[in-house]
Amino acid sequence: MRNREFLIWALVFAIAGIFQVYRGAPLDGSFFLIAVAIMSLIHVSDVQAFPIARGYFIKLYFLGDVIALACFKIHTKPSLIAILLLLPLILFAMRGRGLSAAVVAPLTRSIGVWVALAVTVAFYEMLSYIVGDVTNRPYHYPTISMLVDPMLHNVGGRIFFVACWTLIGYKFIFQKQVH
Amino acid sequence: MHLSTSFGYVIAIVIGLLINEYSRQRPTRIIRLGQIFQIGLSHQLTRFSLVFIWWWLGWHFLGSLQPI
Repeated sequence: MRNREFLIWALVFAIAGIFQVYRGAPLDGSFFLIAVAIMSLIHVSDVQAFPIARGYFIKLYFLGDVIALACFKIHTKPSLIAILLLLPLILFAMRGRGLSAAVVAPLTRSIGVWVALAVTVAFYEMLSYIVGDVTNRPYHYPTISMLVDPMLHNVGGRIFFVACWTLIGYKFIFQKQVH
Repeated sequence: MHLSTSFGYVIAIVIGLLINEYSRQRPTRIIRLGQIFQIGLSHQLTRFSLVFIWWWLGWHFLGSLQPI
């Protein structure tokens, strides 16, 4: 189970990293490839915990940072620093050893359905990007980013996006493990 | 062409909502997305991957100096 989990995520991240380099964002690509390297280290060394601070202080740090992020204009140095300050939380989120969930038929089926939808959207978006790039008409073949970005230049749109993004991140980072 | 390409994303959102609604009515057939994430988050590598993807979305849309 652990081997399959590692192989699937490593493959997804490697493809994402290569695509980022193709679209002219080598820094984004290197993030994905660094994530694959960290994943490999976790997989090989069986790291169990990153006790860097108590949960209460981490939550304050997290909330303070995302509030600042909502206030800054996007694609500027302050927002860049704010987002980089969230990076250590990725390691904090790995605390504790993973538990095995019983793989039952509804779970396998459900994961299959959602993954099929996600992969279809990913291919559709990638195809849109490539066709727009090759024909030099990116406006006619927009990616999700191109559709969302204009909303984020508006304060209301940015606060809405950051609020949704924060809720998801809070859940991902601080969610207790299920037994 | 812009509208028809964008319409594809709208269809994907609608399909997602329909699957979600189906999972609310028939939880024994399809498990709700929230529960799938909950199970995924109890696996160390999946948790790391999901948090990384979450962080990268913030980087991509908000933090990166490279315009979209």
